Amino acid sequence: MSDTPITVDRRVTLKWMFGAMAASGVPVSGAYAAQAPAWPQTSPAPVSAPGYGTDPTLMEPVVPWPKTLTEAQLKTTAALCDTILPAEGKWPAPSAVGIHQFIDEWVSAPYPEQRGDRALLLNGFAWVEAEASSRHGKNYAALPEPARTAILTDAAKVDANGARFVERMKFLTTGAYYTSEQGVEEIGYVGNVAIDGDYPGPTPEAFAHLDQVLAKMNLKRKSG
Amino acid sequence: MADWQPDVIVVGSGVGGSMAAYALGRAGVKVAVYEAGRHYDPETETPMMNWDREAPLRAVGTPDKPFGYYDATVDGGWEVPGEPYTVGEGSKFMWWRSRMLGGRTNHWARHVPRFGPLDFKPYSRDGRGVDWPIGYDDLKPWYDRAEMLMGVIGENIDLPNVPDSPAHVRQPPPVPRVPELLLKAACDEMDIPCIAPPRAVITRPLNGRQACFYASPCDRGCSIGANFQAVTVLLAPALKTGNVRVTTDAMVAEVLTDKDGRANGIRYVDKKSGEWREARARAVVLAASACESARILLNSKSRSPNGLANGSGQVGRNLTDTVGVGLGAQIPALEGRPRYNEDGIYFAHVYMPWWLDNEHQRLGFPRGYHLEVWGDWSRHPQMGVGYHSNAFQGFGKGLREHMRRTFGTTVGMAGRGEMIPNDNCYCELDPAAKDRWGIPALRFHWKWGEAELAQAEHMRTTMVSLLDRIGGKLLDPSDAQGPAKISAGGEMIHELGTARMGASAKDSVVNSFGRAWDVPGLYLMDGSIMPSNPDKNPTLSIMALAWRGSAQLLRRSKRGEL
Repeated sequence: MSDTPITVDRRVTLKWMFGAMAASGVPVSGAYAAQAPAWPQTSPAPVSAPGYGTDPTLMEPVVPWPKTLTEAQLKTTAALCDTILPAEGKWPAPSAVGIHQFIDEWVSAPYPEQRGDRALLLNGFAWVEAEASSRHGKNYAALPEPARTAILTDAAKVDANGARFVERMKFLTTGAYYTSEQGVEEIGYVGNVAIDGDYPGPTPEAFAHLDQVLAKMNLKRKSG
Repeated sequence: MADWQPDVIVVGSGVGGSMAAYALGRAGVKVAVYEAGRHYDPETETPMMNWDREAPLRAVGTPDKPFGYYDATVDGGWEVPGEPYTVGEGSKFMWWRSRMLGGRTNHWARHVPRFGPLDFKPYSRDGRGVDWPIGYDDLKPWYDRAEMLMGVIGENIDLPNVPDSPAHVRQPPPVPRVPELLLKAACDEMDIPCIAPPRAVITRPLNGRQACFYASPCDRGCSIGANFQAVTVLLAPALKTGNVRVTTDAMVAEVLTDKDGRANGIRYVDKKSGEWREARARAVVLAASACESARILLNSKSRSPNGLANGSGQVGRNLTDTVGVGLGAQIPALEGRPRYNEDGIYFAHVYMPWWLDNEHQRLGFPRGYHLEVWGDWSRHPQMGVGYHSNAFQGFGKGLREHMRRTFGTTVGMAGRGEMIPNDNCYCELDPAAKDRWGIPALRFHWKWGEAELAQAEHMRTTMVSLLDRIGGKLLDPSDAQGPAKISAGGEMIHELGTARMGASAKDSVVNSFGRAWDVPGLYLMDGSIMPSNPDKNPTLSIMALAWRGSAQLLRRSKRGEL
């Protein structure tokens, strides 16, 4: 690879490299990661919309700020969410329950934490798309799952920003998913229902499990 | 209100002010309550069963709503727009405010332990701080009454500084849940008491309030009145007497006095119109919160440039807060456990009262603490559930299984300890900063003492030992080493002591009834009057003291002494 012509446009070069490696059966992600392009450092225009204020209506909440992701960015987001947490059996993909739209709401919010994530995520989306384009000449969302996984795996290895991007996308995807109706069901949460009479406490199955745990730890349950 | 003349003005509608309004109004005294925040009605404004997904950003905290979208805090937080405070160089202090009817009784932990006999005599015990002019026995009947009105669950235990509640006073607590039983087993082995905490949540109907139905986080407020909020429990019956009137959006700047120096009114700004107004009565009760009441006194300069009721020079001094250290762990042994409804009363069903009263010599710090418990299992999943994904290597296949397995496996603890008042902790008027109405703002000064730092370190090691015993993996691995990450001043939102009670006018601002030594007709009925800050959360004690003080005010009124 030391022969790589340095005068050729970087994207073209990478595309060529990918083709060459694919042809020779070299593992893509490992060999590629060593030459990954730098993480973009752009500062996207901050959102200027107002927040919901210090006394929003709690009974019928509204998101007052407009969403800002482009159609293309939304597609990238949806694809990333679905790669992070693929559909499984009866549990739908994150994009099927609007998690990408939640991330749009998140990166469009006028608060410090979300503004920070806006810069991190938009740069991440740009990197991911550049990779999809240079490696495969396609959008990230159009790629088959193994190619998506390879790119996102490599993203985490670029530098601290890349690692942070992947970690943050994992947090946002799972946090939003497991607070959605389907996610709450999948995770096994039962509650947020009014109970008549005294709080019943653990079930016999829950007690049996606890007693096993205690026995392994050589601890005892006195009562309750 | 033109032809309605109040006997008593009460500033603030938190636990102290609302208690005074209740006690005085029911006795036939005409009371005018002034609240800096807006009107608030828990019955119609509480999002009881809303899921977090229904709120912006899954209801996470933002600068607009630091404790989350659904938190029962209106126009409040660590910063309030247009109402600045400053912090002296080298100090770390945070001041939580809430601008709504009921003040800070809407969002709070509702942990309501009584102060114990030792808590009233700290100086006699170890030579630090000051003794209260009263003892536990003086306050006990008022604790009984306050608990019965507030509605409290709990469990008695044989410890010298954790007083019993009579059987007819407290209601039965809910049974502990699995993570709590696991922690309790570790406590049993380590000889640390672990019992049901006293909480201002009812499990039996009380005075027209419904019992808890074990759903909906309490910090949103409660539309059925199953937890204590001043608005539902104190103000509603007070207003029913017809003797109590409330003026909201009234920012009080100073207490007015007559030519003889008696407190006879207030000057305030109507926040809606920006108009300055005065109100008059025969007595004034300040219950605006420890720091806000101190600010009002310091800004009341009709008698002296040092402020009102400040002959002792103690107004603003002796500011204390609770010592706080928190940490948490993920408990692998709890992974994959059978699910059941673990909402309970939302707050922990167990806590650990201080158990080493007789060993302070050995421990190297003079005052105690208690331990509270939290986890990711006592309410419906929050955005924070996403942090469980950090422990999963990579993404994709297997992540779902990891999320299912780890939800409900976090156990956190919080140490809450007594701070000894010291000369470095106080508030004063900032020479320059003013709020949007031109009222001089407070400047805070803060420095923990050695006693607090040593205590915080003991909290940390105890919590780490307990979590380690149940196989916990610390969420922040740096907690395994000291020094403990102690809270900032004010961060525990238990500010007390800025107008302390005492035995004489020489070194205190008020007597044990909250009556100002220097100013006839002026009473203080909030946390400002407490000369010490035991590890026990102060709300119940503020309520008991305010009731006791109101009863004395009433006696004086009947004797024509107002």
